[in-house]
Amino acid sequence: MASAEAPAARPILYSYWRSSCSHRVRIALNLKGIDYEYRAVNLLKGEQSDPEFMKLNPMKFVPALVDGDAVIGDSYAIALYLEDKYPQRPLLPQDLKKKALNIQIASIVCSGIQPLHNLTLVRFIEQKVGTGESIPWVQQQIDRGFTAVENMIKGCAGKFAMGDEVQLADVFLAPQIFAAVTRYQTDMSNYPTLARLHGQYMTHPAFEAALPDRQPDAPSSG
Amino acid sequence: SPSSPCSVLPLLSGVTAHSFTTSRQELVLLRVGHGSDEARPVQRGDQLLLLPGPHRPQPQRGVEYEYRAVEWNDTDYEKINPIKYVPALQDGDILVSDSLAIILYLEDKYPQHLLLPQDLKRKALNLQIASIVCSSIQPLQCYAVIGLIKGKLGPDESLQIVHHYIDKGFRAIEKLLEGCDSKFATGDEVQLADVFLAPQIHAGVTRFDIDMSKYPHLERFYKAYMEIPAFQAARPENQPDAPSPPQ
Repeated sequence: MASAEAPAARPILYSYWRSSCSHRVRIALNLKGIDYEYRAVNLLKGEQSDPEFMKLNPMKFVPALVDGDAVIGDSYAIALYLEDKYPQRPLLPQDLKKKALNIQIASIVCSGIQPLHNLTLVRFIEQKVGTGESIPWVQQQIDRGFTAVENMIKGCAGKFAMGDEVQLADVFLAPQIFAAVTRYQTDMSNYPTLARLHGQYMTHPAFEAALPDRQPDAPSSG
Repeated sequence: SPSSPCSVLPLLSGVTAHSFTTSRQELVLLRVGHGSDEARPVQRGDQLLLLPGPHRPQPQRGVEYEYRAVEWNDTDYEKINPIKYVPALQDGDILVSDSLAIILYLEDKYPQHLLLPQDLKRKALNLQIASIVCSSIQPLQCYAVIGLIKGKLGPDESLQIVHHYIDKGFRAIEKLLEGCDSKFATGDEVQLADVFLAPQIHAGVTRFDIDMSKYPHLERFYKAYMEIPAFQAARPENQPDAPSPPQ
């Protein structure tokens, strides 16, 4: 028989530097130590509507992951796929109560906050409801979600959201808090636990490497 | 003792629900009152009922539960679920809110009727479809409904938003399922994707005038869902807190 098989190709992540959904998956990949190929999809240029990209994700959203013959869109589905396929450095605990809490927090971010401040809806609100209406709207969505998460983790947060180990909740929270702070001028003093976590995430190597301005397609400064 | 049908206690303010002392699992499902104007639409609550499959070999007991309706101005509910959405599930001393978290919890706790396949690609497809519904359609639909109720959007605009997001999501799911000839979304057994699709299609058809002929796979699945007792039992109009039809 032939000698050792060729190494499996690296997974390919289709991502946009500023997309908070892509940001989540970058964190997960880094935490698990998965070497991946980064392929930029420029949302401002509309590359998400290219027929080739639409085959990968007909929702025209980043991120999308290609891993061998698996093609997966949606950050949630990708994160749970990575959890199964690359069980090193697990992001979900065995304990059902804590596991459920992680999933709830991820859901608050990806169903309760982020979709309600995405660009299409914000533009719509500006056009149809009124100029400037989108800002209080976004702040309201962030406030509702952050207030809920703050209440949920007050009792269990340690160094990270669920204790002293990074878990799925952190993977979803970090990009949302980052966006809230840097793009939506959110006053984090209302959410002291989340504010503290933000500080942690900004100095953790796996999270740092996933930051928008560290990505290959981030505009270079100067 | 013989299994009793799922029993329902009406929610009476100031009266705590009677808790069962039998050995069967007691689950409490909290749902917003049907038709209340500040309520988040109840579609997600529809999913959390008896696990399916009259076609399965074992007798179908499903997971018995107690239903508790939640009124929109229920201040105690915020203590149970800080984000105030329904549904929420109480199972012993564990409280889980958010339909996806609840379903994944049930998946672990009651592995006798799995909704997710072992195969990672098919599992991811189920999760992606579920996510399209619960992140990319339903919250925007909810925004449009509440915007209308609060007077921020006119009826045409509200419906336009709903149609836009349902159409985008349904077209994407049709693409993901291109060539699918199985009975349900990801195979011949009901799986997670179906649990999320059924209520979304139902809402589209009964509330938002969606023309399902544009989405042939979904239309076919919907007809199949209508035949399944577990799905029938979960429909909004069959819930204890549904308004009685006008005389």
